[in-house]
Amino acid sequence: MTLTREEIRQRLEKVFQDVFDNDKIKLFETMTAEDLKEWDSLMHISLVVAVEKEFHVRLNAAEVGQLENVGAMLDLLARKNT
Amino acid sequence: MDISSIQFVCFVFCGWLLCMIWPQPVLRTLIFTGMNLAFLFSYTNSVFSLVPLFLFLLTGFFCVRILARNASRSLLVLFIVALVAVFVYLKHYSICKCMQSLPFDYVTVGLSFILFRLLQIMYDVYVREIAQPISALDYFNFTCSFLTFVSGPIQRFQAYQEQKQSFLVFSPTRTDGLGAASRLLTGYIKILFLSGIFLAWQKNSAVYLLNWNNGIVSATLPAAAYWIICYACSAASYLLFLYMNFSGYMDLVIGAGLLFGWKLPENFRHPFAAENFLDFWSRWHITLSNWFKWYLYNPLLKALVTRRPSHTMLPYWGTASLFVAFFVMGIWHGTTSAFVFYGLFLGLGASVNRLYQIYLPKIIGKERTKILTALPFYRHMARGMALSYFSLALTCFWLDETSFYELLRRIPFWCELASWVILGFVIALLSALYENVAKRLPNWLQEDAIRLPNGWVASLWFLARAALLAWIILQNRTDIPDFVYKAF
Repeated sequence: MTLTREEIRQRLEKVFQDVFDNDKIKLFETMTAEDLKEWDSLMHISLVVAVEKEFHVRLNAAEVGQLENVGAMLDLLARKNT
Repeated sequence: MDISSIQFVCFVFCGWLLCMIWPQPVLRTLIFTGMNLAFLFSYTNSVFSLVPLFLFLLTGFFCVRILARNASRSLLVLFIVALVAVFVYLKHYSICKCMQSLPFDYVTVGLSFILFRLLQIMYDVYVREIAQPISALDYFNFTCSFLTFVSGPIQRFQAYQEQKQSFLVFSPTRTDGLGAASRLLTGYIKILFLSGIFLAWQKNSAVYLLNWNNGIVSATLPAAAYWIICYACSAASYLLFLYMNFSGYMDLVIGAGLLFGWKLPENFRHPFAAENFLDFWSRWHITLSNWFKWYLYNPLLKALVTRRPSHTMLPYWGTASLFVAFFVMGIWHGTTSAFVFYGLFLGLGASVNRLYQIYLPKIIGKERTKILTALPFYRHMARGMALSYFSLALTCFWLDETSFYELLRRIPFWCELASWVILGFVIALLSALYENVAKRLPNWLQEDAIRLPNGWVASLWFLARAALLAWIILQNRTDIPDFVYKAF
């Protein structure tokens, strides 16, 4: 079943909240590591692993490296979902 | 062809002129290919000496083609291992000392950076990040672009493809021309003038260091103190030399690239403003550390986290992955066993920094950590210690292998430790002084204001640098240091 971008965003937001243990996180397209203090290179990989589990996808090294902001994540997940 | 030579200037200018005269994309591609070939051949008088390099490139191309048809993990691993093994052999790493080397002289300039590009293409073809077949022409121009051939900056093939489209239709504006000229001016001043000053200082400081007679360091405390100061000065001056040498080269290739519409990635971003060792590596040789982050650190950490998922272990997996990535990055830099120490130094620095970042909040609390790390004294000391540590790590760059091991053998560890601490303090002081002076500068002297094409201050700054370069050229200096990273 193909998910809409909004559905992907909502699920991704839940992943962020779980990984960073913070229910108050609200995602926006241009959100980057600078907007979320705990989002360092270590947490980035935790986030990637959690995203893979949630969306049943496998991200390669190039894709992991390019996920610099939430918008890029949403684009990638939407592409993988089609 | 030396990038800092007048021949290179003429070479770039001629190529640029041809691109302006014949702006059709097909002709520009031919001109670019011709320039790349000419640059490659400028490194030798004998075509035969390029044969190993060409065979390496050809082998890489076939590996890419095979992976494009058959994305097999076993094949990818086999190709990576084989190409790295051939690279290690061709570069005469000390591990290959017992092996018979090729019975003729051959060119190895640029081989390291070709390997990075090749590994990146192979992996991205395997995971289908690069879905379209790569033509032989694109492959050659990407791996052997005269702009990035010698020492980067390291670009992904996909970024190169995007830049190529811009190059094919590029029509320079006044801003482009001024931007390119400004970068070239800065680069030449750094290479032809500033790097020489720091290298001379480093050589003068190092003279006393290599006086091993009768364990001179342990003889008297003043002698040991003098040794410590000399070592600190040697290390600091070499770091400054290396920065001028390497970033100057980057200014030249980035500036030359701007003339053709190529926007190459930056390799330096105020490295001396780094807050700690890990931050330093996000500012120094940026494309190298990004490459290792993308293709070694991230995959390794992800594999560890996936296989052993544990919130408690996560920071330690990160630390272990950092150590491995920095260690490999360190040993890549040189072919002798001394660079194993460099790798260990880098790995240790990165992992200790990470562990410190993990444990400090646990020991004193998150709020106190936030307050502490914002204190000016802490920030400057952290900067000083990080830069001092990196300076000392560079010792194997300016000592040959024998002298390096002599240093380790003869000099007590406490002397090296003292050099680190004293140099760290000095850098911290300078950092504090610089920050205090910088914030008192009027707006018209701030960095953005002196960047062309903004106003009269920028124009004056440009003219001043042009005048300085003209004076440097008229000096007709013959002691211009060679480009360090050409050897890597």
